[in-house]
Amino acid sequence: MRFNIFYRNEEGFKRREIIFLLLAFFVFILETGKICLFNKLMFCYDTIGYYGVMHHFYNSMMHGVFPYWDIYDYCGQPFYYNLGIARVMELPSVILIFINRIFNWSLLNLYNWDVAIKIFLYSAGVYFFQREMNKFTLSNCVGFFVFLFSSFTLTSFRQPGFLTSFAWTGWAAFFLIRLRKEFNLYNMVGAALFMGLLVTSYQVGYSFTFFEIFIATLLINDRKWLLGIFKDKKKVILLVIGLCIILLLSLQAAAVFMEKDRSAPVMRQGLFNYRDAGYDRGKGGAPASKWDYLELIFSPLVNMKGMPVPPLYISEAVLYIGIVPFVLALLALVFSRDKFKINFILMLLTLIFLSLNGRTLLGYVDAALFPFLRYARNMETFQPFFIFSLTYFVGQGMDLFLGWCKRYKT
Amino acid sequence: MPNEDVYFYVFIYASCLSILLAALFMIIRYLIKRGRPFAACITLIGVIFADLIFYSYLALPNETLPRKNVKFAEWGHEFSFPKSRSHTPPLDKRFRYFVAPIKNIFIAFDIVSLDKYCPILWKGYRYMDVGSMLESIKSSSFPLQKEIMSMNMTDFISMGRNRYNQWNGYKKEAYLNFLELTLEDMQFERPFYIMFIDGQKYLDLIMGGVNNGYLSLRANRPWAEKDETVATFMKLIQMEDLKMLPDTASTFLIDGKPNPDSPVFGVIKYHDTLYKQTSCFNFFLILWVKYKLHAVHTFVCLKDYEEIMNVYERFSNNMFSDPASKRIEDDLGVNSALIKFSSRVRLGDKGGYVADLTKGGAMNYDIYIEKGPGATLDYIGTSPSNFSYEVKNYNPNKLEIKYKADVPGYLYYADCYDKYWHASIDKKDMLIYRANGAFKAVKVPAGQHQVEFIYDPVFFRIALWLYYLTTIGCVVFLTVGAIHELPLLKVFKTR
Repeated sequence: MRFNIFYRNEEGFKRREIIFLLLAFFVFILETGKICLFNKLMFCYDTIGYYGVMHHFYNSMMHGVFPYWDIYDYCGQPFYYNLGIARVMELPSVILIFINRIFNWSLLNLYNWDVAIKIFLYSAGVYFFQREMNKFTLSNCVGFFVFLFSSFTLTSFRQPGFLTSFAWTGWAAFFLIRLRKEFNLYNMVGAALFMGLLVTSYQVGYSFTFFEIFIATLLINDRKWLLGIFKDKKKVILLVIGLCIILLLSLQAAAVFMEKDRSAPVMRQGLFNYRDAGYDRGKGGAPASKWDYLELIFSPLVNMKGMPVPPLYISEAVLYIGIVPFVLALLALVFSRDKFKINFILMLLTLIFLSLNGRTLLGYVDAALFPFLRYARNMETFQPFFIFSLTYFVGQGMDLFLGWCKRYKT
Repeated sequence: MPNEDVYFYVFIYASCLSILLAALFMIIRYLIKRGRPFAACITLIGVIFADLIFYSYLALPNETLPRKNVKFAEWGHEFSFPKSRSHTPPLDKRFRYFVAPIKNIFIAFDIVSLDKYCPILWKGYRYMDVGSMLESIKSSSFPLQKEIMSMNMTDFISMGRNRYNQWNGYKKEAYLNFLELTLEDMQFERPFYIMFIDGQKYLDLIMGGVNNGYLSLRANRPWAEKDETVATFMKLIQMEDLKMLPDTASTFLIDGKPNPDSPVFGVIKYHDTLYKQTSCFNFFLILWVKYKLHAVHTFVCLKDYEEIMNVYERFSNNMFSDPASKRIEDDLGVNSALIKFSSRVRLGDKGGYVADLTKGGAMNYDIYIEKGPGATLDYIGTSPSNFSYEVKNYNPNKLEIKYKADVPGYLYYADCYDKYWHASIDKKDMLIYRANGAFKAVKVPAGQHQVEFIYDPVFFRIALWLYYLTTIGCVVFLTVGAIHELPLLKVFKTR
């Protein structure tokens, strides 16, 4: 089997791409082997914190009961209020439970595999997104590999907020780009499905803000397409179908939201009500730190997260994609001529601004500019979106490199 | 400011990185110019791969924990109805649902971090969680047994300051362990916020233990400097101002009020009276009960329950003699059964139960039923009755019990009220009343009958079905649509 490194994406999907994905999964499982296979390590901090939710859910489902109520905590409370936090009711988790009836793993192992598989599944969307953006297949592989083994994965071992906020963003972005190329039912269903699944993510504000920024940047270089959607009757119908799908998927989140006034938030022990916990009120929450961006080129810093070491403060949102990928991304920032380059540059700048508490500078305007962030607390949660945007440039940088190689070859 | 060593290491790192990148660039350029782009690609990808794998190797120990010292429930269990709130759920008591309580996470986390970061763990003394410490105290095996039984918290802390260096390792660890459990955890009810550090020396001391500004007594430094820790706690008790740690992304309060303009932090006193008037052991017990009831690290609890907890906090200064606290604990089923029966009932407005509790907790009824549609007092009695029950079936959404009572009355279930709970007696639907502020009660006749409670959040259930059907439908459509026109391999062409 000849391996052509200059194989282009437009020549079609090859079987070897699936082999590559399976190989990447295999390597990923080796990385998480001590957790999933050999039981030597466990997740920590918040990730293991959600084990309690999962245990109750898994245990109940294994006994054939979908648990709507939890008798143990706070003298009984609706369990479904907490379902969205760990994304425990998503299909991958449910399918895993059915698989566990055969393998009969411990619930802790089941949870470990659940987290690991979710990381891979969410990252797989990045591969297909890269496929839509890059010229060469090898660039997709590099971009995807960089994302999968970036700090996003490892920080998700300790802080699942990053994982569950990012969730299906890669897949949604993939279908959105495909929609841009061809506005048909297939792509609309795909985009709506993954956007709808995002609605029940941990804090939907981050992913929706990401898409809001991206769509807003399209006004700069792709105004015609964006505004043309509303001028074509067929496209409007497809848009309505998409919105219906999103609505159907969001209803269960709406059910919880409608009952929010019956509950009292105990996060941070009742100091904050829901609104005060919002980012703009300044109480609570964890922003990123400017020193986080230093981690992109200085990897030993990644082990100092969450520790105030004056004058450094490293947040939980570790940023590392590899030195060489970062150099590739810088090359692409300068030399790439891709039509989406300006969109992602603006995306990166906006994400840096938001993650460093920049909204407080906007005053009353911020609620209008970033409506989805009204109840968002931890601006460091933009970490996976920043890495995702950076891996776009990694793919573009790899395209430049391969283009350069090809020129010399010919 | 970082010291000179840091700048030196940064310089070495930057130099090595530049040299390696330059070497990589030259190798790749050489390979390409020699007409070997494949080799150049492999080199580049190999370096990327090695970089990321090396990073994973570096970062994995910091993003995970060894499992060797951690015990928590790994397997499922049959559903079993709790005998009381104190009754351990069918999980290991150290690890309950929802990271509850936060102490357990510290045990899961801290035992390991102690092994890793703090080699000064004296042989034989293991840091304890709240439950283990309570057992240790009750069995009189705690190293500072006499002190915590006889002293209040203020005296205990200052005593420790004076005697710390004279103690052996056991007592030192026990002292700090006790303080840490009672003072440190910010998610332990009304938190004792300690958000400031006094001086660079102290900062160095607790550097390893500070997370988001919350102080931990556990430090990865020699214990000799623990005097500073104790001194700081003394200042906290006395409300002395301490300097703010720069660059800490923390909030701060002074006497419970936000004061963003103040350059110093203050401290919220948990209960001034508790520190001075109650023994350490009583204080500890109060926290132990509260953490069972309220200090659970989920994101929400029901408002009605929160109201009762507010009253409980106010009155639990002395849990051994306070009737309001005892009444709440009884109604919650802390040490008593969750299912009770009584005909000593009062019908009143919403909030009446809490109001009665606030007056001091001396109530002449067992169950307070809130007025509402269908709420009547058909069964009122003053004399106790013979009542027994048996749980026939239990799962998270359902409870079936068979009871026997010689008089009609009210069956009280110490589980929070929710509008989606339905009850039936012998398959006949019955109204559920909101009882004792936040819980459930149904009117039951005398004799032997079967009561069933079922939880059915209709809207959520229907929405969940729609969610699964829509997801499956879309996935099937995307998969079939990808296969239908062309073989699978062509699915990713623009369709």
